Amino acid sequence: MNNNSKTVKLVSSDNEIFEVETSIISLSETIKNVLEDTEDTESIPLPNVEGRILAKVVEYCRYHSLLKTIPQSEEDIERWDREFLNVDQPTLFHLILAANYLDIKSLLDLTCKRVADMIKGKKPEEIRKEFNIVNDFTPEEEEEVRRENAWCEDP
Amino acid sequence: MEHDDPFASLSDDLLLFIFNKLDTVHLCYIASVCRRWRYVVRQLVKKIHVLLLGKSLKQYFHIPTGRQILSLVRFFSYVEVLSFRNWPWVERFPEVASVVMRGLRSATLKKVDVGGLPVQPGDIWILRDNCPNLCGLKLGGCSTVDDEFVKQSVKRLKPHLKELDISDSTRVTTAAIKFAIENGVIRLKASRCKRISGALVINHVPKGNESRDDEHCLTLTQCKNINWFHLDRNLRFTTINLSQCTSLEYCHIYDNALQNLHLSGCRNLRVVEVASSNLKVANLFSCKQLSEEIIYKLIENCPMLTEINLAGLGFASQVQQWLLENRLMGSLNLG
Repeated sequence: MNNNSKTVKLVSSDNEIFEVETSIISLSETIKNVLEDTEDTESIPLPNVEGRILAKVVEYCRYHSLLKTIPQSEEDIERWDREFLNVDQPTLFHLILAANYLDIKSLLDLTCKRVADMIKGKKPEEIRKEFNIVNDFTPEEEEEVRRENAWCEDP
Repeated sequence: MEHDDPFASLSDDLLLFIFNKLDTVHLCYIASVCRRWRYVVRQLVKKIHVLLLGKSLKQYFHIPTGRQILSLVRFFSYVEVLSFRNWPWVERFPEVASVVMRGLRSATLKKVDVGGLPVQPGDIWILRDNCPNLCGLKLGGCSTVDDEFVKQSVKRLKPHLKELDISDSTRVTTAAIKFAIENGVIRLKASRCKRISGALVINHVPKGNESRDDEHCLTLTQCKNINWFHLDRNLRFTTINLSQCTSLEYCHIYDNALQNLHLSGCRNLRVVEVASSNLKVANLFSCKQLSEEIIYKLIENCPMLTEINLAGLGFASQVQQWLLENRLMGSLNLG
Protein backbone atom coordinates (compact mmCIF):
# COMPACT_ATOMS: atom_id res chain seq x y z
CA MET A 1 0.00 0.00 0.00
CA ASN A 2 2.73 2.35 1.05
CA ASN A 3 4.60 1.58 -2.12
CA ASN A 4 1.62 2.42 -4.29
CA SER A 5 1.15 5.87 -2.91
CA LYS A 6 4.81 6.79 -3.25
CA THR A 7 5.26 9.67 -5.67
CA VAL A 8 8.01 11.25 -7.72
CA LYS A 9 8.25 14.69 -9.27
CA LEU A 10 8.87 14.82 -13.01
CA VAL A 11 10.25 18.09 -14.29
CA SER A 12 9.62 18.93 -17.93
CA SER A 13 11.93 20.91 -20.21
CA ASP A 14 9.83 24.03 -19.55
CA ASN A 15 10.00 23.44 -15.81
CA GLU A 16 6.50 22.18 -15.31
CA ILE A 17 6.35 19.81 -12.38
CA PHE A 18 4.22 16.66 -12.39
CA GLU A 19 3.87 14.74 -9.18
CA VAL A 20 3.05 11.17 -10.16
CA GLU A 21 2.69 7.87 -8.30
CA THR A 22 5.75 5.74 -9.01
CA SER A 23 3.50 2.75 -9.65
CA ILE A 24 1.97 4.61 -12.59
CA ILE A 25 5.05 6.12 -14.14
CA SER A 26 6.94 2.82 -13.89
CA LEU A 27 5.38 2.02 -17.25
CA SER A 28 8.37 4.02 -18.45
CA GLU A 29 11.40 1.74 -18.37
CA THR A 30 13.67 4.77 -18.27
CA ILE A 31 12.06 6.17 -15.13
CA LYS A 32 11.70 2.75 -13.57
CA ASN A 33 15.45 2.27 -13.92
CA VAL A 34 16.20 5.64 -12.35
CA LEU A 35 13.91 4.84 -9.43
CA GLU A 36 15.49 1.45 -8.95
CA ASP A 37 19.02 2.80 -9.09
CA THR A 38 18.54 5.63 -6.63
CA GLU A 39 16.01 4.84 -3.98
CA ASP A 40 15.17 8.22 -2.51
CA THR A 41 14.74 10.05 -5.78
CA GLU A 42 12.39 12.97 -5.26
CA SER A 43 12.46 14.54 -8.68
CA ILE A 44 13.60 13.54 -12.14
CA PRO A 45 14.39 16.20 -14.72
CA LEU A 46 13.26 15.33 -18.25
CA PRO A 47 14.96 17.96 -20.41
CA ASN A 48 13.76 16.29 -23.62
CA VAL A 49 10.05 16.43 -22.86
CA GLU A 50 7.85 19.52 -22.91
CA GLY A 51 5.19 20.02 -20.23
CA ARG A 52 2.20 19.64 -22.54
CA ILE A 53 3.63 16.37 -23.91
CA LEU A 54 4.55 15.08 -20.46
CA ALA A 55 0.96 15.76 -19.39
CA LYS A 56 -0.24 13.48 -22.19
CA VAL A 57 2.31 10.81 -21.31
CA VAL A 58 1.20 10.84 -17.67
CA GLU A 59 -2.42 10.63 -18.80
CA TYR A 60 -1.54 7.58 -20.91
CA CYS A 61 0.38 5.87 -18.11
CA ARG A 62 -2.38 6.57 -15.62
CA TYR A 63 -5.05 4.96 -17.78
CA HIS A 64 -2.93 1.98 -18.77
CA SER A 65 -1.72 1.21 -15.27
CA LEU A 66 -5.29 1.49 -14.04
CA LEU A 67 -6.15 -1.36 -16.43
CA LYS A 68 -4.10 -3.68 -14.23
CA THR A 69 -6.58 -3.27 -11.38
CA ILE A 70 -9.75 -2.42 -13.29
CA PRO A 71 -9.79 -4.43 -16.51
CA GLN A 72 -11.62 -2.97 -19.51
CA SER A 73 -12.84 -4.58 -22.71
CA GLU A 74 -10.59 -4.56 -25.78
CA GLU A 75 -12.99 -2.19 -27.53
CA ASP A 76 -12.99 0.24 -24.62
CA ILE A 77 -9.21 0.32 -24.55
CA GLU A 78 -9.06 0.81 -28.29
CA ARG A 79 -11.58 3.62 -28.09
CA TRP A 80 -9.62 5.30 -25.31
CA ASP A 81 -6.36 4.99 -27.25
CA ARG A 82 -8.01 6.44 -30.34
CA GLU A 83 -9.39 9.38 -28.39
CA PHE A 84 -6.02 9.86 -26.75
CA LEU A 85 -4.32 10.11 -30.16
CA ASN A 86 -6.81 12.62 -31.45
CA VAL A 87 -4.08 15.27 -31.51
CA ASP A 88 -2.41 17.49 -34.09
CA GLN A 89 0.52 16.21 -36.08
CA PRO A 90 3.34 17.97 -34.16
CA THR A 91 1.96 16.62 -30.88
CA LEU A 92 1.83 13.10 -32.30
CA PHE A 93 5.48 13.28 -33.32
CA HIS A 94 6.50 14.75 -29.97
CA LEU A 95 4.70 11.85 -28.32
CA ILE A 96 6.74 9.41 -30.39
CA LEU A 97 9.95 11.07 -29.27
CA ALA A 98 8.82 11.10 -25.64
CA ALA A 99 7.71 7.46 -25.75
CA ASN A 100 11.04 6.54 -27.25
CA TYR A 101 13.06 8.55 -24.75
CA LEU A 102 11.04 7.33 -21.77
CA ASP A 103 11.01 3.81 -23.21
CA ILE A 104 7.28 3.16 -23.00
CA LYS A 105 6.92 0.38 -25.52
CA SER A 106 3.14 0.29 -25.80
CA LEU A 107 2.92 4.05 -26.31
CA LEU A 108 5.67 3.97 -28.91
CA ASP A 109 3.83 1.19 -30.71
CA LEU A 110 0.56 3.06 -30.59
CA THR A 111 1.92 6.36 -31.85
CA CYS A 112 4.03 4.81 -34.60
CA LYS A 113 1.08 2.74 -35.72
CA ARG A 114 -0.91 5.95 -35.98
CA VAL A 115 1.74 7.53 -38.23
CA ALA A 116 1.90 4.35 -40.32
CA ASP A 117 -1.87 4.59 -40.75
CA MET A 118 -1.46 8.16 -41.97
CA ILE A 119 1.04 6.99 -44.60
CA LYS A 120 -1.01 3.97 -45.63
CA GLY A 121 -2.94 4.15 -48.88
CA LYS A 122 -1.27 7.38 -49.98
CA LYS A 123 0.79 7.96 -53.09
CA PRO A 124 4.25 9.53 -52.72
CA GLU A 125 3.01 12.97 -53.76
CA GLU A 126 0.18 12.82 -51.23
CA ILE A 127 2.58 11.76 -48.50
CA ARG A 128 4.90 14.69 -49.24
CA LYS A 129 1.97 17.04 -49.05
CA GLU A 130 0.58 15.57 -45.85
CA PHE A 131 3.89 15.83 -43.97
CA ASN A 132 5.42 18.75 -45.80
CA ILE A 133 8.32 16.66 -47.04
CA VAL A 134 10.58 18.13 -49.72
CA ASN A 135 11.26 16.00 -52.76
CA ASP A 136 15.07 16.22 -52.72
CA PHE A 137 15.92 13.74 -55.47
CA THR A 138 18.31 14.93 -58.14
CA PRO A 139 16.94 14.62 -61.69
CA GLU A 140 19.09 11.49 -62.18
CA GLU A 141 17.78 9.90 -59.00
CA GLU A 142 14.27 10.90 -59.93
CA GLU A 143 14.69 9.00 -63.17
CA GLU A 144 15.98 5.94 -61.32
CA VAL A 145 13.08 6.09 -58.87
CA ARG A 146 10.66 6.32 -61.74
CA ARG A 147 12.18 3.30 -63.44
CA GLU A 148 12.16 1.29 -60.25
CA ASN A 149 8.61 2.20 -59.43
CA ALA A 150 7.20 1.67 -62.88
CA TRP A 151 4.92 -0.86 -61.24
CA CYS A 152 2.84 1.62 -59.31
CA GLU A 153 2.01 3.85 -62.24
CA ASP A 154 -1.15 3.02 -64.07
CA PRO A 155 -0.48 1.02 -67.23
CA MET B 1 -0.44 26.45 -40.92
CA GLU B 2 2.87 25.47 -42.43
CA HIS B 3 5.06 23.17 -40.39
CA ASP B 4 8.35 21.42 -40.98
CA ASP B 5 8.77 17.82 -42.00
CA PRO B 6 8.01 16.14 -38.67
CA PHE B 7 10.05 13.08 -39.58
CA ALA B 8 13.20 15.21 -39.48
CA SER B 9 13.13 14.95 -35.69
CA LEU B 10 12.96 11.14 -35.71
CA SER B 11 16.02 8.93 -35.88
CA ASP B 12 16.44 6.42 -38.70
CA ASP B 13 15.61 3.69 -36.21
CA LEU B 14 12.26 5.28 -35.41
CA LEU B 15 11.53 5.78 -39.08
CA LEU B 16 12.34 2.11 -39.61
CA PHE B 17 10.06 1.20 -36.73
CA ILE B 18 7.18 3.09 -38.36
CA PHE B 19 7.81 1.74 -41.85
CA ASN B 20 7.93 -1.73 -40.42
CA LYS B 21 4.25 -1.40 -39.60
CA LEU B 22 3.31 -0.87 -43.22
CA ASP B 23 2.18 -3.46 -45.71
CA THR B 24 5.30 -4.84 -47.42
CA VAL B 25 4.19 -3.79 -50.88
CA HIS B 26 3.62 -0.25 -49.69
CA LEU B 27 7.34 0.15 -49.01
CA CYS B 28 7.79 0.32 -52.73
CA TYR B 29 5.61 3.42 -52.86
CA ILE B 30 7.20 5.27 -50.02
CA ALA B 31 10.71 4.73 -51.29
CA SER B 32 10.06 7.47 -53.80
CA VAL B 33 9.02 10.12 -51.29
CA CYS B 34 12.48 11.55 -50.64
CA ARG B 35 16.12 10.53 -50.32
CA ARG B 36 16.01 9.77 -46.64
CA TRP B 37 12.92 7.59 -46.90
CA ARG B 38 14.46 5.80 -49.81
CA TYR B 39 17.56 5.11 -47.77
CA VAL B 40 15.58 3.82 -44.78
CA VAL B 41 13.31 1.69 -46.95
CA ARG B 42 16.41 0.15 -48.51
CA GLN B 43 17.63 -0.82 -45.03
CA LEU B 44 14.28 -2.41 -44.35
CA VAL B 45 14.13 -4.22 -47.68
CA LYS B 46 17.35 -6.02 -46.76
CA LYS B 47 15.44 -7.74 -43.99
CA ILE B 48 12.46 -8.76 -46.08
CA HIS B 49 12.93 -12.35 -47.13
CA VAL B 50 9.37 -13.39 -47.78
CA LEU B 51 7.18 -11.71 -50.36
CA LEU B 52 3.54 -12.67 -50.50
CA LEU B 53 1.74 -11.59 -53.64
CA GLY B 54 -1.66 -12.21 -52.15
CA LYS B 55 -4.88 -10.42 -51.40
CA SER B 56 -3.29 -7.19 -50.20
CA LEU B 57 -2.31 -6.38 -53.81
CA LYS B 58 -5.92 -5.58 -54.55
CA GLN B 59 -5.57 -2.18 -52.96
CA TYR B 60 -2.87 -1.19 -55.44
CA PHE B 61 -4.18 -2.49 -58.74
CA HIS B 62 -7.38 -2.96 -60.65
CA ILE B 63 -5.64 -5.66 -62.68
CA PRO B 64 -1.83 -5.47 -62.77
CA THR B 65 0.35 -6.17 -65.79
CA GLY B 66 3.20 -8.66 -65.74
CA ARG B 67 5.66 -5.77 -66.03
CA GLN B 68 4.26 -4.16 -62.91
CA ILE B 69 4.44 -7.33 -60.86
CA LEU B 70 7.96 -8.02 -62.08
CA SER B 71 9.23 -4.60 -61.11
CA LEU B 72 7.50 -4.97 -57.77
CA VAL B 73 9.25 -8.28 -57.12
CA ARG B 74 12.59 -6.86 -58.28
CA PHE B 75 12.28 -4.07 -55.75
CA PHE B 76 12.51 -6.63 -52.96
CA SER B 77 15.95 -7.70 -53.99
CA TYR B 78 16.67 -9.82 -50.92
CA VAL B 79 13.66 -12.06 -51.19
CA GLU B 80 14.20 -15.75 -50.51
CA VAL B 81 10.61 -16.94 -50.62
CA LEU B 82 8.14 -15.74 -53.21
CA SER B 83 4.54 -16.82 -52.94
CA PHE B 84 1.53 -16.43 -55.21
CA ARG B 85 -0.79 -18.05 -52.71
CA ASN B 86 -4.11 -16.17 -52.65
CA TRP B 87 -3.23 -14.32 -55.83
CA PRO B 88 -6.30 -12.11 -56.32
CA TRP B 89 -6.63 -12.40 -60.10
CA VAL B 90 -6.78 -16.15 -60.58
CA GLU B 91 -9.33 -15.84 -63.37
CA ARG B 92 -8.10 -12.74 -65.12
CA PHE B 93 -4.35 -13.02 -64.84
CA PRO B 94 -3.34 -16.59 -64.00
CA GLU B 95 -0.15 -16.39 -66.14
CA VAL B 96 1.49 -14.10 -63.61
CA ALA B 97 3.56 -16.86 -62.00
CA SER B 98 4.87 -17.89 -65.39
CA VAL B 99 5.68 -14.28 -66.36
CA VAL B 100 7.55 -13.62 -63.13
CA MET B 101 9.47 -16.89 -63.29
CA ARG B 102 10.62 -16.06 -66.78
CA GLY B 103 11.61 -12.51 -66.00
CA LEU B 104 13.14 -12.67 -62.55
CA ARG B 105 16.83 -12.58 -61.76
CA SER B 106 17.74 -13.03 -58.13
CA ALA B 107 20.76 -14.19 -56.22
CA THR B 108 18.77 -14.71 -53.03
CA LEU B 109 15.62 -16.48 -54.17
CA LYS B 110 15.33 -19.98 -52.72
CA LYS B 111 11.70 -20.97 -52.90
CA VAL B 112 8.69 -20.23 -55.05
CA ASP B 113 5.11 -21.13 -54.23
CA VAL B 114 3.04 -20.79 -57.40
CA GLY B 115 -0.15 -20.86 -55.36
CA GLY B 116 -1.83 -23.25 -57.74
CA LEU B 117 -1.33 -20.98 -60.76
CA PRO B 118 -0.39 -22.77 -63.98
CA VAL B 119 3.31 -22.88 -64.88
CA GLN B 120 5.34 -24.92 -67.37
CA PRO B 121 8.61 -26.81 -66.90
CA GLY B 122 10.25 -24.22 -69.18
CA ASP B 123 9.33 -21.45 -66.72
CA ILE B 124 11.09 -23.37 -63.98
CA TRP B 125 14.21 -23.95 -66.09
CA ILE B 126 14.52 -20.26 -66.87
CA LEU B 127 13.95 -19.33 -63.24
CA ARG B 128 16.64 -21.74 -62.16
CA ASP B 129 19.07 -20.32 -64.72
CA ASN B 130 18.53 -16.81 -63.36
CA CYS B 131 18.23 -17.70 -59.68
CA PRO B 132 21.20 -19.88 -58.76
CA ASN B 133 20.02 -20.50 -55.21
CA LEU B 134 16.61 -21.86 -56.08
CA CYS B 135 16.08 -25.08 -54.13
CA GLY B 136 12.37 -25.32 -53.40
CA LEU B 137 9.21 -25.41 -55.50
CA LYS B 138 5.66 -25.50 -54.31
CA LEU B 139 3.50 -26.56 -57.21
CA GLY B 140 0.55 -27.66 -55.13
CA GLY B 141 -2.76 -27.40 -56.95
CA CYS B 142 -1.06 -26.50 -60.21
CA SER B 143 -3.15 -28.04 -63.00
CA THR B 144 -0.26 -28.40 -65.43
CA VAL B 145 1.75 -30.71 -63.17
CA ASP B 146 1.98 -34.34 -64.26
CA ASP B 147 4.67 -37.02 -64.17
CA GLU B 148 6.50 -35.62 -67.18
CA PHE B 149 6.48 -32.17 -65.62
CA VAL B 150 7.94 -33.49 -62.38
CA LYS B 151 10.58 -35.54 -64.18
CA GLN B 152 11.68 -32.70 -66.42
CA SER B 153 11.87 -30.17 -63.59
CA VAL B 154 13.65 -32.49 -61.20
CA LYS B 155 16.13 -33.63 -63.84
CA ARG B 156 16.93 -30.13 -64.96
CA LEU B 157 17.29 -28.74 -61.45
CA LYS B 158 19.30 -31.63 -60.11
CA PRO B 159 21.07 -31.56 -57.68
CA HIS B 160 19.84 -28.19 -56.43
CA LEU B 161 16.16 -28.99 -55.98
CA LYS B 162 15.71 -30.17 -52.41
CA GLU B 163 12.11 -29.35 -51.66
CA LEU B 164 9.10 -30.12 -53.81
CA ASP B 165 5.38 -29.89 -53.13
CA ILE B 166 3.05 -31.33 -55.75
CA SER B 167 -0.01 -31.76 -53.55
CA ASP B 168 -3.51 -31.81 -55.00
CA SER B 169 -2.33 -32.91 -58.39
CA THR B 170 -4.86 -35.04 -60.23
CA ARG B 171 -2.24 -36.41 -62.60
CA VAL B 172 1.00 -37.29 -60.79
CA THR B 173 1.52 -40.96 -60.13
CA THR B 174 3.76 -43.13 -58.00
CA ALA B 175 6.45 -42.93 -60.69
CA ALA B 176 6.87 -39.17 -60.18
CA ILE B 177 7.33 -39.62 -56.45
CA LYS B 178 10.00 -42.25 -56.93
CA PHE B 179 11.76 -40.21 -59.58
CA ALA B 180 11.86 -37.08 -57.42
CA ILE B 181 13.23 -38.92 -54.39
CA GLU B 182 15.78 -40.83 -56.43
CA ASN B 183 17.02 -37.58 -57.93
CA GLY B 184 17.82 -35.52 -54.90
CA VAL B 185 14.54 -34.13 -53.58
CA ILE B 186 14.73 -34.61 -49.82
CA ARG B 187 11.53 -32.89 -48.71
CA LEU B 188 8.67 -34.12 -50.80
CA LYS B 189 5.02 -33.41 -50.26
CA ALA B 190 2.28 -34.88 -52.39
CA SER B 191 -0.90 -34.89 -50.35
CA ARG B 192 -4.31 -35.69 -51.80
CA CYS B 193 -2.95 -37.18 -55.03
CA LYS B 194 -5.36 -39.90 -56.01
CA ARG B 195 -3.19 -41.33 -58.77
CA ILE B 196 -0.40 -42.18 -56.37
CA SER B 197 -1.68 -45.69 -55.94
CA GLY B 198 -0.80 -49.30 -55.29
CA ALA B 199 2.68 -50.00 -53.99
CA LEU B 200 5.17 -47.24 -53.26
CA VAL B 201 8.59 -48.76 -52.78
CA ILE B 202 11.50 -46.45 -52.10
CA ASN B 203 14.85 -48.14 -52.14
CA HIS B 204 17.27 -45.56 -53.37
CA VAL B 205 18.27 -41.97 -52.74
CA PRO B 206 21.37 -40.34 -54.23
CA LYS B 207 24.37 -39.85 -52.01
CA GLY B 208 24.00 -36.30 -50.81
CA ASN B 209 26.48 -33.87 -49.40
CA GLU B 210 23.85 -31.99 -47.47
CA SER B 211 24.46 -31.26 -43.84
CA ARG B 212 23.01 -33.36 -41.07
CA ASP B 213 20.42 -30.67 -40.37
CA ASP B 214 18.82 -31.23 -43.73
CA GLU B 215 15.87 -33.36 -42.79
CA HIS B 216 14.49 -35.84 -45.26
CA CYS B 217 10.71 -35.77 -45.11
CA LEU B 218 7.99 -37.44 -47.09
CA THR B 219 4.39 -36.28 -46.73
CA LEU B 220 1.69 -38.16 -48.58
CA THR B 221 -1.38 -37.48 -46.48
CA GLN B 222 -4.78 -38.40 -47.86
CA CYS B 223 -3.38 -40.29 -50.82
CA LYS B 224 -6.28 -42.64 -50.62
CA ASN B 225 -5.11 -45.19 -53.15
CA ILE B 226 -1.74 -46.22 -51.75
CA ASN B 227 -1.92 -49.66 -50.24
CA TRP B 228 1.66 -50.63 -49.68
CA PHE B 229 4.50 -48.41 -48.51
CA HIS B 230 8.04 -49.65 -48.29
CA LEU B 231 11.13 -47.68 -47.33
CA ASP B 232 14.54 -49.34 -47.45
CA ARG B 233 17.34 -48.90 -44.97
CA ASN B 234 19.89 -46.06 -45.02
CA LEU B 235 17.78 -43.55 -46.90
CA ARG B 236 17.99 -40.84 -44.21
CA PHE B 237 14.27 -40.09 -43.93
CA THR B 238 13.45 -38.62 -40.53
CA THR B 239 9.73 -37.99 -41.00
CA ILE B 240 7.15 -40.00 -42.88
CA ASN B 241 3.55 -38.80 -42.90
CA LEU B 242 0.94 -41.08 -44.45
CA SER B 243 -2.01 -39.90 -42.37
CA GLN B 244 -5.45 -40.60 -43.76
CA CYS B 245 -4.14 -42.90 -46.48
CA THR B 246 -7.25 -44.93 -46.00
CA SER B 247 -6.34 -47.77 -48.35
CA LEU B 248 -2.90 -48.34 -46.85
CA GLU B 249 -2.59 -51.91 -45.64
CA TYR B 250 1.14 -52.50 -45.32
CA CYS B 251 3.81 -50.13 -44.08
CA HIS B 252 7.40 -51.37 -43.92
CA ILE B 253 10.09 -48.93 -42.90
CA TYR B 254 13.67 -50.08 -42.41
CA ASP B 255 15.31 -46.68 -42.54
CA ASN B 256 17.21 -46.24 -39.33
CA ALA B 257 16.99 -42.43 -39.52
CA LEU B 258 13.24 -42.39 -39.01
CA GLN B 259 12.16 -40.31 -36.02
CA ASN B 260 8.52 -39.45 -36.70
CA LEU B 261 5.92 -41.69 -38.20
CA HIS B 262 2.38 -40.46 -38.78
CA LEU B 263 -0.22 -42.99 -39.79
CA SER B 264 -3.31 -41.63 -38.10
CA GLY B 265 -6.57 -42.46 -39.78
CA CYS B 266 -5.10 -45.31 -41.86
CA ARG B 267 -8.11 -47.37 -41.00
CA ASN B 268 -7.17 -50.33 -43.20
CA LEU B 269 -3.58 -50.57 -42.06
CA ARG B 270 -2.90 -54.15 -40.99
CA VAL B 271 0.84 -54.33 -40.86
CA VAL B 272 3.29 -51.71 -39.68
CA GLU B 273 6.85 -52.79 -39.34
CA VAL B 274 9.50 -50.29 -38.34
CA ALA B 275 13.10 -50.90 -37.53
CA SER B 276 14.56 -47.61 -36.45
CA SER B 277 16.58 -47.10 -33.33
CA ASN B 278 15.76 -43.39 -33.71
CA LEU B 279 11.97 -43.52 -33.87
CA LYS B 280 10.56 -41.13 -31.27
CA VAL B 281 6.98 -40.48 -32.30
CA ALA B 282 4.47 -42.89 -33.77
CA ASN B 283 0.93 -41.73 -34.38
CA LEU B 284 -1.37 -44.67 -35.00
CA PHE B 285 -4.59 -42.92 -34.09
CA SER B 286 -7.57 -44.84 -35.35
CA CYS B 287 -5.54 -47.55 -37.13
CA LYS B 288 -8.20 -50.00 -36.14
CA GLN B 289 -6.96 -53.02 -38.03
CA LEU B 290 -3.63 -53.22 -36.20
CA SER B 291 -3.17 -56.12 -33.85
CA GLU B 292 -1.69 -56.01 -30.38
CA GLU B 293 1.27 -58.16 -31.49
CA ILE B 294 2.21 -55.66 -34.17
CA ILE B 295 2.27 -52.83 -31.63
CA TYR B 296 4.46 -54.78 -29.18
CA LYS B 297 6.87 -55.59 -31.95
CA LEU B 298 7.02 -51.94 -33.00
CA ILE B 299 7.79 -50.88 -29.45
CA GLU B 300 10.44 -53.56 -29.10
CA ASN B 301 12.14 -52.64 -32.36
CA CYS B 302 12.24 -48.92 -31.56
CA PRO B 303 14.02 -48.32 -28.24
CA MET B 304 13.83 -44.52 -28.51
CA LEU B 305 10.07 -44.40 -28.94
CA THR B 306 8.70 -41.97 -26.37
CA GLU B 307 5.37 -41.01 -27.80
CA ILE B 308 2.83 -43.33 -29.30
CA ASN B 309 -0.78 -42.48 -30.06
CA LEU B 310 -3.05 -45.51 -29.98
CA ALA B 311 -6.33 -43.70 -29.52
CA GLY B 312 -9.18 -45.57 -31.09
CA LEU B 313 -7.47 -48.98 -30.81
CA GLY B 314 -9.45 -51.40 -28.67
CA PHE B 315 -6.50 -52.83 -26.78
CA ALA B 316 -4.74 -49.53 -25.98
CA SER B 317 -5.19 -49.95 -22.24
CA GLN B 318 -3.56 -53.41 -22.27
CA VAL B 319 -0.60 -51.92 -24.10
CA GLN B 320 -0.35 -49.22 -21.48
CA GLN B 321 -0.33 -51.81 -18.71
CA TRP B 322 2.35 -53.75 -20.53
CA LEU B 323 4.41 -50.60 -20.96
CA LEU B 324 4.15 -49.74 -17.29
CA GLU B 325 5.52 -53.14 -16.47
CA ASN B 326 8.18 -53.30 -19.14
CA ARG B 327 9.39 -49.87 -19.96
CA LEU B 328 9.13 -46.18 -19.27
CA MET B 329 7.46 -44.08 -21.88
CA GLY B 330 7.20 -40.29 -22.14
CA SER B 331 3.61 -40.23 -23.11
CA LEU B 332 1.03 -42.67 -24.23
CA ASN B 333 -2.08 -41.17 -25.71
CA LEU B 334 -5.06 -43.44 -25.46
CA GLY B 335 -7.64 -40.93 -26.60
